Amino acid sequence: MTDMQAVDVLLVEDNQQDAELTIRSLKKHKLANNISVVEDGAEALDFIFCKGKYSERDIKHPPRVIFLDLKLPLVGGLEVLRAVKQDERTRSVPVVVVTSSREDPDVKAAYELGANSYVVKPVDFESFTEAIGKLGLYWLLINQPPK
Amino acid sequence: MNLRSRITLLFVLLAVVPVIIVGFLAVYTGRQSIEQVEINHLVSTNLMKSSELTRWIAGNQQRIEELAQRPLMVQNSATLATKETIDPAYDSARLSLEWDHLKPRVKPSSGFTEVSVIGPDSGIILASSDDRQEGKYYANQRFYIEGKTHTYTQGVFYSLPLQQTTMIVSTPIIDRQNNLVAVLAGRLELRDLSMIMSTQSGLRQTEKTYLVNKSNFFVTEPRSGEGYALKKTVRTNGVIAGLSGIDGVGFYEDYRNIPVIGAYKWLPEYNMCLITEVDQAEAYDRINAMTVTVVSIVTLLALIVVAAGFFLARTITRPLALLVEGSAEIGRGHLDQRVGTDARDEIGELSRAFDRMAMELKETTVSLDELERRIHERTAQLEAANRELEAFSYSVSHDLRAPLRAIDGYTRILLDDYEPLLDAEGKRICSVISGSAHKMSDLIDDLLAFSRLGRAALNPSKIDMEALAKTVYEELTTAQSRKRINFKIDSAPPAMGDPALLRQVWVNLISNAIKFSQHQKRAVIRVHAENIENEIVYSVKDNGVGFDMQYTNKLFGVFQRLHSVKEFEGNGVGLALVQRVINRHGGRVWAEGEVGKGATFYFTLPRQGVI
Repeated sequence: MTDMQAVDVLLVEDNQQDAELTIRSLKKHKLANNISVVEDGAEALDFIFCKGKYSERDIKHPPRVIFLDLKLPLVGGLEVLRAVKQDERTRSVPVVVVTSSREDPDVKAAYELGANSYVVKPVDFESFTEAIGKLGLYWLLINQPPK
Repeated sequence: MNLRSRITLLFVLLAVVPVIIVGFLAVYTGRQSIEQVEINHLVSTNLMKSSELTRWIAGNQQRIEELAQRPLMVQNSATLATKETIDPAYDSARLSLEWDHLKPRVKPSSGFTEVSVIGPDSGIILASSDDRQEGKYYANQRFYIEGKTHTYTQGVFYSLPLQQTTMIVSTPIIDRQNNLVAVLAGRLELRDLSMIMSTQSGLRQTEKTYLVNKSNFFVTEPRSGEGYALKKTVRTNGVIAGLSGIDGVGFYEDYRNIPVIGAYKWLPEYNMCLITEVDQAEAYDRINAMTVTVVSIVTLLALIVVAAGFFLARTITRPLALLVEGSAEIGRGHLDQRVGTDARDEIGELSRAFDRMAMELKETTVSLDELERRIHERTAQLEAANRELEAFSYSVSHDLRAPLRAIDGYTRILLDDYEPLLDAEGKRICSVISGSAHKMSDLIDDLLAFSRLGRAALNPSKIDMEALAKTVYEELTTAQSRKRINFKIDSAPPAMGDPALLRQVWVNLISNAIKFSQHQKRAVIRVHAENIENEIVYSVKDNGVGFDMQYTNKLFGVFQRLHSVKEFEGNGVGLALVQRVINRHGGRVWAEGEVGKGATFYFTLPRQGVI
């Protein structure tokens, strides 16, 4: 198992600041051993299904949790979510939808497609750190994925 | 019954009823006048016949008198009266009388059936035109007794010697010395009387005149029969009345049992009754003919009127039917249908008015269609705008937050990672940056909440406003803060509304009241409500800082504030939100206040629908 294969968190986030803050929050909670960041939906799909520049990856080792923003360039977050939940190989991967707004009309759609959580990113940094930390803690350590 | 039938019927009634009445009156008065004419005719016939009868008798009297005055008659009669029968002069005189004077008198149409010379003292017939009569005794007969002194006519009587009914004229035969020589008697030919009586005087076929004697015997033959005279009796009403000595007219059945109109006249000098009758059937024939004519005219008129009425009704109802048809067509939406005619009557007027109406209706409909189209257009525009607004809200909430999060996040990172490099002022600036970011985030949230209020559908239900206000107050305060506040609800009747939104109203008003009275030693907050006309007016009154009434119009504007943030925190959305919610419920909001003396905020809700 290479480093490339052993991914704990896949962060799909086009906003680099948000990505940085997320990573920092995870690190702060000592949960940032293996974080991969992709900036758009297409790249996310390549990563998850081991295509394009990620073709060397093994699909048998999917990320342990995917943090997914809904507003993404190229391929939208909901499309990524659908692809993940429709494929048997990736269906069991927890997907946490992390978005900026509770106004989002896609909240309902996200749950219907099988999102495991839906989290609104707080503006307040401390709250944000706490939320991300709790999510990481839960999905990486507490949650027991199927063998 | 439809209009056409009714009009036709009306015409028939209007035309036929008067005609029937006039016809009836004509027949009735015609009958009356014809009866009168008939009666007059019968009476005059009676008069005429009676005078004819008198003339006939007078003529016969004259003839008898003339015979009696002949010198040979006088001479021979004197001979018979004075000489013995065995005297040859007697026979000679008798033969002379019989052959030269009496027999020639008895001829057809002479008027006499027998002429006899009766002895002046004996009353025995001395000589007669009828040999069989000689020697017969008449001394006690009236005509004989009367005939001795003057010319006399004995009316119809039953002669015992003759054994038959007869009528006799008698006159004395007198010599030059004025001595009665004999009595000359002539038996009248009653068939002549029948002739006189039956001679028709008018054009009436059934008219008849006859004489009836005291014993109810026919004296003359009635027209319609033979063998009545002197053989049959008659007892009709007319005869009975006539024989009782009355002159008059009557309607009765004659001897044949046929209804007649009869005039009867009593002739006292002859002891007879003169009857003239005409069959009612004939008399009324003219009336019946007139009735038939009238009925025919009425029938014909009725037919003409029915036909005319029918056609007239048709001319009236035909345009009406067209109008009905046309209006039905218009009713089905064919607004180009035209029913107008150029008729100059009221229906023509109506049809043209109808056309104008259809035309205006069409214009209105067209403009309605246009209006509807515009409404659709506007609705579509509004929906599009709404969608845009939602997308905008989403973008605002999504995209405006991300930079704020970065500002706050990186400021914190700065503070965390570079703390040794920052002095106190640097740290203060960092906290201002962070605070501003938070503030901005709150503003975004409020703005979004406000905009959400305008769009979300209302879910009205009955709300216990008192309980709601109380709950809100308790949520907004702590046990500690409640000690300082005198909060009281006078009354707050239930209302219909959206519970979540009205809750928001109470939150904003009560929290404002608490906020602006926070500097008072003892805060007093009153919730009050009363019914005014169709509304419930709720109010929240505090004894806080109040406001200047000249700024009252700014109170409910978005982001409008009358106090600095330093004085009282808040972002100016609360009252705008209250106004928006209340307006959406069909109510109004306003406020009263005075600087330093507190403020009262009012809102109304319609009472309608509250049970």
